[in-house]
Amino acid sequence: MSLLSLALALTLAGSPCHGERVVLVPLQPVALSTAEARRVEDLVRRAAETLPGACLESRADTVARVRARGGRLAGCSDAACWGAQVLAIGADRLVRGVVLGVGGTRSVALTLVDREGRESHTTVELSPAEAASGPDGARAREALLGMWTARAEPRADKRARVLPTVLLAAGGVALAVGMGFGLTARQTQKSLSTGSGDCGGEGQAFRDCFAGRLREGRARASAANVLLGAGALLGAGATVLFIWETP
Amino acid sequence: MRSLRCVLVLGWATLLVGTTVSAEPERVTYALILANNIGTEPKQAPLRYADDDGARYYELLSPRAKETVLLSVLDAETQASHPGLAARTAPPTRAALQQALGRLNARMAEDKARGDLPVLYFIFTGHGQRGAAGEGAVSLLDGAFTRTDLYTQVLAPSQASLIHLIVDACDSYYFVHARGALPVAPAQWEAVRERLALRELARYPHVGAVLSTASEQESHEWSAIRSGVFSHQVLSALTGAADVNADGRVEYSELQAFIASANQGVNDVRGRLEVSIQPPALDRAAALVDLRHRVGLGFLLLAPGLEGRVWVEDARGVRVAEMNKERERSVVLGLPPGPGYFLRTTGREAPFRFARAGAVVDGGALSWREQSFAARGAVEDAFRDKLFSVPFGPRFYEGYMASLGQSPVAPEQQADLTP
Repeated sequence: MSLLSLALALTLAGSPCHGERVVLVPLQPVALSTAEARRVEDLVRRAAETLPGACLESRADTVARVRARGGRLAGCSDAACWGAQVLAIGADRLVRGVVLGVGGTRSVALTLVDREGRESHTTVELSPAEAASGPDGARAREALLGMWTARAEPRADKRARVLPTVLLAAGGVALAVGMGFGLTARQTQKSLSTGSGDCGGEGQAFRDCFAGRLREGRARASAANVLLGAGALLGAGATVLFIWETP
Repeated sequence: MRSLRCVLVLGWATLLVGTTVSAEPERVTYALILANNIGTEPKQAPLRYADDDGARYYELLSPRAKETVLLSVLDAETQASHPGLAARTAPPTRAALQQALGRLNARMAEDKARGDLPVLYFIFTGHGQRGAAGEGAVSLLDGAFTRTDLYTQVLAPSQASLIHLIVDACDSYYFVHARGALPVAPAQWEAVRERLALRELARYPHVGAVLSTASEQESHEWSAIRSGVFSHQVLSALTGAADVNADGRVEYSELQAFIASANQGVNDVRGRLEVSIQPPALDRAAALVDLRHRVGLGFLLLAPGLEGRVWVEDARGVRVAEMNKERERSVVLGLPPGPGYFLRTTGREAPFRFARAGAVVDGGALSWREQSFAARGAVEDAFRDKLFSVPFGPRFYEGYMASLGQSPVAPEQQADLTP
């Protein structure tokens, strides 16, 4: 039984992770010793390992990367810099942070950045005595999860897709109405070319009725052409915008 | 046998904890702030912002102090911007000062008896001058308060284990130090030497001095920030802006370098500060503030990435902290949690608020917007562009300390890069 468990564990350990590659950069201490900051970092690392769909890089590999870059990643103030840093380190998401020991308590401020340089932030207050306590771990997990799910559905994208959707809907309505006008115009044309166009009487009265039906048909045909053109333009615009805004 | 072992281990542990606790006495802070716009001499024009500076010192220090005394007559503008504060002040007279000193000394004596470590901030903002005998003095409402008074009435009888003496006044150096020839005949010198020696800071190794002028020089006020330039820089530093090694403590050398960097870009010699900052001889690494302790402040984190001149204004428009940040430096500013704040840089601002005392706000998470206000103050104000024009951080600090030949603070704690 124990051999089976060991084999299963080895198999799971050796299997490649199929989620997003996440790198947790060693946390910077402020008003706190390096050792205390490391304890908090270990707490955050354990919480990050539980994120759904995330493959957290091992600390040894991350430390080797940071060492290769002079022992510290440069600070960024804009999305371009953040995105370039995430790409340069070969990650999908980067977690950076500062551990603070101010006001008689400890806190950790974390930033999650993706390849486009979009940032999410969270701050977790920890108990002053022991970083590895149960409530601290739960708080860290909750905060990380909130940050992780917030970035999965960026609100900016939702807003960005509104315009193409509206254009597409308007184009669809214009095409449908235009098609209706076109069909009725076609029907009028058929009735006028093959028969009397439902006009009765004779002489001047018949000619006036026939001319009236002809005008109606032309007007419907014009409206159909305008609506079909507008629908096509709106549809094309929506397509271009949709492609343009696709990340 | 097992239970006996447990009892022994518990007893040993209790003894160890007790020893550890008693090894670190609690620091108890008091602040006595004198702020007086009016001078004793007719030639001294009234100051406009000495009372504002006093109010700012009060608001910054009172959350962390056991008792804070503000002796000042706040003008109408200051009372409007600090509602309710006037009711907690007393006039800056000699009698009020002596009464406050007596009360604080009694409380500090009790603290000492308990084994605590009382720390006193003695702060003056207002007019100062050098008398005919060369002795410096500052102006109280009812007359001059001389260097002799400072030593005999404040420093000598003080029960404080550590005193931070901060003076923002013209000729403030001479309010604390003697320099040059005294108008005493050589025959009388020996007779007065011993008495004069009692009025030297060297006799009080537990006193650190932060003085706005290192020579015969005027102090400056700046209308854009409604503050004296020196006090604004000291107050900014005390929020944590000067904490160059991010250890949560602001030492005297960090304050000195911070003020040097803030004034580095001022070309006009009339506007440049020549300050005198001297740490307590007893402990040259004594901290002016320590943000690690439990204090009633909120904390703003400015992480690496943000750089350049940034300042924090509260909802009343009072600029409470200002700095020029080096890009890779982490800074934490400790601010009173009450009002809402704006973090500002040129052309942008980000509002923020502390939910409660002890809360941490990450400056990187703030939402910036275009600045929606016009800069205050006269256009010709030379300070606007020149003060805080040089970035402050480890690079400036190390160079500055090397130029002074002084020992720097411990380097910044780094992230643990062991696998």
